[in-house]
Amino acid sequence: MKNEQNKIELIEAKFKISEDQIESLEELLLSDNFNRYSIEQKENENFITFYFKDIHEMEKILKNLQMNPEIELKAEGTWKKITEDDWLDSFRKSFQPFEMIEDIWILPLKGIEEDGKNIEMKDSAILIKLIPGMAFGTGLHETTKIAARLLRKYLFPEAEVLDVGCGSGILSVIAAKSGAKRVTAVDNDPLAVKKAEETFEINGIEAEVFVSDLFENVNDKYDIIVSNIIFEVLVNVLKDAKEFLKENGKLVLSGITLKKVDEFLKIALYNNYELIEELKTSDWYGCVLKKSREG
Amino acid sequence: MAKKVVAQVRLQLPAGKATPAPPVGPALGQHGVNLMEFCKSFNAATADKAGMLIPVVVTIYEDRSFTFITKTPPASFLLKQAAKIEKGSSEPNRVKVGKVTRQQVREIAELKMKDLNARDVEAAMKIIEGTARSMGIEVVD
Repeated sequence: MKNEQNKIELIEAKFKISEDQIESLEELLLSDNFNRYSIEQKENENFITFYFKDIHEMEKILKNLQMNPEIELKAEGTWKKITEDDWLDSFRKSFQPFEMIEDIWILPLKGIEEDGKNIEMKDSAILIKLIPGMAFGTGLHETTKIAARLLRKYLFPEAEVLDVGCGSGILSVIAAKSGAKRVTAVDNDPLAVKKAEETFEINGIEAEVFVSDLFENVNDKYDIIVSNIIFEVLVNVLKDAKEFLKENGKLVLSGITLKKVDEFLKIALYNNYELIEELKTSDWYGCVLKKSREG
Repeated sequence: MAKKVVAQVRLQLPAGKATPAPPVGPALGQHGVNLMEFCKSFNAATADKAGMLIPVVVTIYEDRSFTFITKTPPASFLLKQAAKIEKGSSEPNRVKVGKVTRQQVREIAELKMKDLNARDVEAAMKIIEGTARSMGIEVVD
């Protein structure tokens, strides 16, 4: 599945199908636990595209389908090999330098030649280089912006910061470039950890990063723990974070949808946290918490 | 004026756990969709259904923005869960791989009612039973 650059390589095969076959086709594939396909509707025509990891998988799946008399696949062109560059190119092309929040700029690199000198920004502003890829955290999403704003507000020089669920490492870079003394980043996805290493390297910052399912492999205490994930995971962050917060340490959380806010704050209160600050957009919510005295 | 639709893509993704890996990456990336943004929104919308496979229809517009709607999990997935089996039978007529009760079929039919083309629960149950048969799952009383 991977070549020497660690890029995902796939075989893409596209077929035309009639609408009344879609349901039985999907049921067949899913009963085989295969979900690497998409069904596209275009001008009253339906196409199914498979993304096989290798030729063996392709033969096995297609053979199973052909054995079923109800299914008729009409080849549309031929199959071809694709790598992640093929599908990320279109996204990368549309991704221009932008000011993520006040005085933090994101420079998406298409090659290493870019240095951001043509961006008109204040001397005090922070420039973050990113190679847009498969990890969460491009700076475009509202939840990342909320986390970045709150993180910057509570960050102080010499702070020690832990980034839980670091994705591309964008929040860690903001912490390091804003003067944090020490930054630790963890993610449960080894691909994200690799991506974060790359982000730290192209931005010339020193930060440790390793695979850890939330706090599983974390040992130290921090002044600020920042985590931008989703409600269901943040609830677990809440429960475990106390052990890893210094006295007076802050927990910066983002990724909660507005309709889950009340439930989230109830759980926070129950776990002996005090709400210090909140930030909302039209769909998303983030907040800063600290351990309450009684807790 | 309404934005022009450039593509409508249907995928089956694990609730709360979508990532930019295939099929999301190649299927949506080729249309210029911000993959991370899609995954984050999908995961937030489906996290309470963890463990399920959720069909999602993504509509992509010419400015690369998107909307999506989620549907109920496919019958074959729910049947596998109910029968506690990993896979359907490769020879459903000869080799049976599991059993579900009529009550379980009714529960699945009720859950899927709004996505099925059936006029009542009885008719929906017939559709679910048909799927069960094609997977080599027996329906018992």
